[in-house]
Amino acid sequence: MRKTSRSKGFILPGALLLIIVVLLLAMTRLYFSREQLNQVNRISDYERSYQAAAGGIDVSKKALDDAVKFINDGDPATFPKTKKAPEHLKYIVGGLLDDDGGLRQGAEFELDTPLLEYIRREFREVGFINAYVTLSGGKPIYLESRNLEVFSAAAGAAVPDGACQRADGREANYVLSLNVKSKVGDSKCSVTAFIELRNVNVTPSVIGKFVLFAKKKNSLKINVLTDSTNPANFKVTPVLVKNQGSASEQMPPVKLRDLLDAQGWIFMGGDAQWSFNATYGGGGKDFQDAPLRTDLYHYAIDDGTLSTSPSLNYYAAMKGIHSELFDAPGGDSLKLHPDAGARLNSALNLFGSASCVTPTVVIGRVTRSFALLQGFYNSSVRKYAPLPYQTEASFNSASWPGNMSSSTVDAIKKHFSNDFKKYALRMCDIISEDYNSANLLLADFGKAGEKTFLIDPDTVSVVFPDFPDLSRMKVNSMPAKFYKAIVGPAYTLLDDRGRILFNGDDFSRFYEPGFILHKVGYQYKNFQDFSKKSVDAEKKAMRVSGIIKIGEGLETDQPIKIAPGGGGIIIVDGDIVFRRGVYCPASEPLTFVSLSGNISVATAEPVKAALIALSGRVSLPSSFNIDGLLAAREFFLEDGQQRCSRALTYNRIFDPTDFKNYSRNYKLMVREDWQNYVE
Amino acid sequence: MKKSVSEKSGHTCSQAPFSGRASRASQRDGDGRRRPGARGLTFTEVLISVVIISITVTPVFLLFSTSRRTTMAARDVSRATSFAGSYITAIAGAANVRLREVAKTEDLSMDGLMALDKLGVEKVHKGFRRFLELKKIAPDGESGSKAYHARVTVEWTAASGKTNSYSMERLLNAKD
Repeated sequence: MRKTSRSKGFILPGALLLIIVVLLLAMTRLYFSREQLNQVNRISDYERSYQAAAGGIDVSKKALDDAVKFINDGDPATFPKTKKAPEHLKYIVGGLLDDDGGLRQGAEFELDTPLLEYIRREFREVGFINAYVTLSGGKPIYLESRNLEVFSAAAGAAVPDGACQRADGREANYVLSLNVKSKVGDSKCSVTAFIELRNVNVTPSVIGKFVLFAKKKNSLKINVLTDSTNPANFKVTPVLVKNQGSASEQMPPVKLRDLLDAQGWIFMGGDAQWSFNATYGGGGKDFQDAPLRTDLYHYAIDDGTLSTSPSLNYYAAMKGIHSELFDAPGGDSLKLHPDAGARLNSALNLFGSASCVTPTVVIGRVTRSFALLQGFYNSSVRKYAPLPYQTEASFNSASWPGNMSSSTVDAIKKHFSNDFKKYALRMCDIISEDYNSANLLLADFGKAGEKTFLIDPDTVSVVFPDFPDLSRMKVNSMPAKFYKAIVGPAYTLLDDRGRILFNGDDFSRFYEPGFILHKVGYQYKNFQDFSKKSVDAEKKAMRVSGIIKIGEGLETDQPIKIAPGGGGIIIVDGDIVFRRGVYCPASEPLTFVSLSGNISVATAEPVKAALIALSGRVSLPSSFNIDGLLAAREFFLEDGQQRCSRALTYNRIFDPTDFKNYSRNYKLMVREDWQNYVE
Repeated sequence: MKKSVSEKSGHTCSQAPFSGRASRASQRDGDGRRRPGARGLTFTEVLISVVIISITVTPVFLLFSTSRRTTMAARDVSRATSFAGSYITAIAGAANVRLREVAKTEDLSMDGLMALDKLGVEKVHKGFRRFLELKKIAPDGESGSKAYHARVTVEWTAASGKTNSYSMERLLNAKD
């Protein structure tokens, strides 16, 4: 069969076709391999870009962390924060905070640290790198709480359990975002890191006003000391409650009121009476109760038969109670006093000591008893003749205490017209008065005050109509009088701007942890877990910087040291035992709260913290030094040894009624570690 | 004078040399035996074919060779990127490593917490070498943040014998 001419020469096109196909394959492979190389180069550039951005994130986070630490620092020297920030943090702090020191919700600014500038300058391949900070969120915590009833918010409606505290709108949750964009070659990378912040105030909201808060009546044995003029016989040291500001001399009433408004107050709960017998302190001013007018006050005899003698005067003086007044030879002033309970003295000096008087306001049915020594003074021979305490029967008898001759007894009786009631006004006695009456001794009444030894609290507002009342406390909707008993049932606590902090019934039913619990940011299984995460490597000290909860009891066998800015509230679900000291900067409020357990201080080392166990007991050793405050359902005090240190000193950093102080106690709590994601 | 291979049989060929397989096939009978008068390929035809094939096939081979080198280069860069990235990321993520200044040092020579096994980083492949350089910087003075400038360089010799390198940089927070 003959082939057609069209089938001739097929091999050539076939070969050409084959060559073209192979050429195309080779070109295709080359194209893809070049694309692969380009892709790899882009990836390697992207990796460089990512590493530059990730490094930028790291150093920027450090700058933001430093800014947060500075914002959390409670040192007054660091306020206002926007002005006192270190230069390298100033614009960050200024970007995050407004002029009032509150967080600037929705803040957005570019971060430009020297380290980012270093990247731009020194990293050869980096085209650009920029960092941006955003602060979003800001929903108040009380709005997020499922238990709104513990917050009375703006309306301030009373709620059960006396927990009608005002919510703070500045306490809120935020998200702080940091975005770093960088470019190497044509590869851009954007790394974002974010962190949750919780802005809380770590001031104990109501308890913080009290240096000593005893919920339950008889939760503390008060009168347990046997006092004496002989220091050797004064064997048990009283607890000195130092309420911060001292009053070494009398001051104008308004100034005194302002001082008392700012002091740490004392709450002694329950309806029954608390009676304190003023301590004589073995004659030592460092332990003596105060204030007392221990100097002799002389005044003219304007009644009775002895008034004609020009060298004869009455005298009066206030003293702490000591055993020699009752039974020592020659000490017959109170020999016949029937109150055996008056012979023991208070283990607590609520107003500090005679050498450092720190007046305060005592809330509750609390009285103070002291010895009022009275008698005649003969200025010509400079002799004192006390008029001993007597009952009406002994007054009418011929034999008086003090080995007085019958003629002397007759002369005195005659002077008082044989009227026991007249004598009783001038005799030695133990006087009980509202504890707050002691504040009147510190008020300068001017000329009017000089005319009387004791000012009667009931006549103060009559004689001195402009006499001021407390501005930060109302009782039954009326301003509280700092020189009278302050007893509910309705209390209103205000701050120095007039803002109501608390408006509720008896403080004895008050339970602050119920309020604080809703502000907790972190929870830890135990204190060791918390310690591991919270120790600042630079300062070798701990940072709480917020409110945390520990799931089990806490017992310390090492000192707890708190770094500047590390104050906060540690809520413990169990007992707390301090075997070593707690060291916290004075400008940092540190509070330990035992939810349902007890707190035991088993060390003489300083404990610079507020200790709160409103459902339990606070036990204190024979020697202690607490700088903060104590609040408990009941207290147990070991007997103090002779001349040991037993001091409870209020730290005003806990005072919620001082707005400036309260404003310093906000902490930006970092709730989680930074979370990164790459776009 | 050009003669075809069939000159042995005494025939000359005056036709065009590119007669092709079909032409040659037509010169045979059905039993595959050459028919009388059938023509073969001239030397010239073969020579030209060889030249043409050479001209067309050589670039193909060159293309394949180039693409192979490119692929290998991409593979090397990819590996270098991975080696550098894993090392610098491991150093940045090692919370317990106290950084110190390091002059350009091969990774195998690093000891302590910066040793490869401590960092959990694999060794580089044969033919690659990896170096670390750490430089302390405090651009904001003593009061500001301190950091380290880390540079990881990977070097390798390509198949061509050329030495290549790839560097990656990152700032690390000083932990001291």
